[in-house]
Order: sequence, then structure tokens, then C-alpha cells
Amino acid sequence: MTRKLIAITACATGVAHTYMAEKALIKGAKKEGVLIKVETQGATGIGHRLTTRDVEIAEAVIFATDTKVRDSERFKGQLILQVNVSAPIKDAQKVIEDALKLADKK
Amino acid sequence: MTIKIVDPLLVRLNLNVSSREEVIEELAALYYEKGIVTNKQKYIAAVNQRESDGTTGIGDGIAIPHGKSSVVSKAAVAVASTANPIDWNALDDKPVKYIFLLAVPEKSDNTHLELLSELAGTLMDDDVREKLKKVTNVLDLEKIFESEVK
Repeated sequence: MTRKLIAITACATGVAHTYMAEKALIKGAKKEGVLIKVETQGATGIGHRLTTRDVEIAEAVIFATDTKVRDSERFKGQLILQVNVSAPIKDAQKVIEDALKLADKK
Repeated sequence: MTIKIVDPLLVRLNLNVSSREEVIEELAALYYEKGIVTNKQKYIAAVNQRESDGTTGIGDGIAIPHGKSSVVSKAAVAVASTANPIDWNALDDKPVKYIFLLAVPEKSDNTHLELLSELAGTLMDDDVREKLKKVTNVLDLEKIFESEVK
């Protein structure tokens, strides 16, 4: 079965890194054959907001964030991998693999 | 309708510079000339502040420094390529040749900020990175970052 992850990206200015990390995670997930939905929390607001259903079906949550995650109570009880926003920009596949490993450990 | 994110008046190709500071200075001067930044030193300080929080060298010879400040009158991107690669302490430890300096106002309408975010996202695209390496003039550059809107 296809593996499923969700992620939040956010950076201090909320204009550049948030969206580069988003694109990097989507690209990395594609290469790994993983389904991912990425919510961006930027200066222009929240993009692709994760729903309760998204949170339910995801095996783990990636926080690629340099700032406080908005509405983080949505992820209470979920497995969370916290990395810097630059981590997926540097190597998204590694971040995806780490999130899957976290899910495997459970 | 086609929206051009990159303004040809805010592009400097083949800059003869040897440091990050020099590139930022050159592009900030361009912003000041065009009235996009009303105080060059304050803007540069904001860019340096952001840089000290973590490198904006995103790999593959590309850097996307940015400064958010009240001295920025409107959201913009200025682009430079350098004649020789310069050190940027980038994520992949490689030197940088392409610089996208963003000017971010304290208050802005979302449309302009979204264009900058779209440009940033585009830079993660392998095709775009390949095209960037082949840029020889401003027109090539403009074309890469054209955005189709309905």
C-alpha cells in the first residue's frame, strides 16, 4: 500500500523557504513513491490546509518549520518529525525516509 | 495573460564581484535607484540579519537572500549572476552563481508576495535550474519565470 505522510512548512519571513520546502517535499515524496500533502504557513496565510481526514490517514507528520506551527493541536497524539525548514531543501528524500522510519518504529 | 515576475530593470548578469556582501550591495543599490528601497543601509541590514539566521544558499549555485523591512516600498525580486562563483555557505557547500534578492515590505498585498513565493518554489524545479545555467541574456531569464494567469 502506498505510504502516506503530511507536512507543514513555515519560515520566519514566510515568503521564500516555506514554499521551497513545500516543493522539495513534494518532489522528494514523488521520488520515494510516497503520497504527501504539504500545508504552507506563510506570510500570505495558510495554503493547502490539512484536514482532520488528512491527519487521520497520515502515518507521520513532518514539521519543516523555523517558527511556531499554527493550530498544532490538530496533530496531538500523532508521530511528529521536527526538522528545520532548510532540511528538505537540502535533502527532501532523507527527510521523507526519516519520517517513514519514525512510523515504522511505532 | 502573462505575468512577468522578473523585471529586466532589476537584473545584473555576469557581475564582477567576489563576495556575498558585494552582490547584495550591487542589487540593493539597484533597488534604491528604482525607489523600491528608500534606505539602502537599513535594507542591507535586514538582509544580513536574515542571512545570519541561516544560509539562503539553497544549493546548485543558487541563493535567495531576502530582507523584510519598512524601508521596502513594494515587493520585488532583483536577480544577479556572477562572473565567478562566490562563497555563500550554502546548504550543499557549493559556491553560488545565481542570486535572487527579494525585497519584502512590512505590509503588502498578498498578490505580490504570492508571486515571490511562486518564484521561490520554482527554483526547486530541476528543469528551471537547468535553464538557469543556460541563461545568456535578460530575455532568457524573463522567460523562465513567466507565469500564466487566467
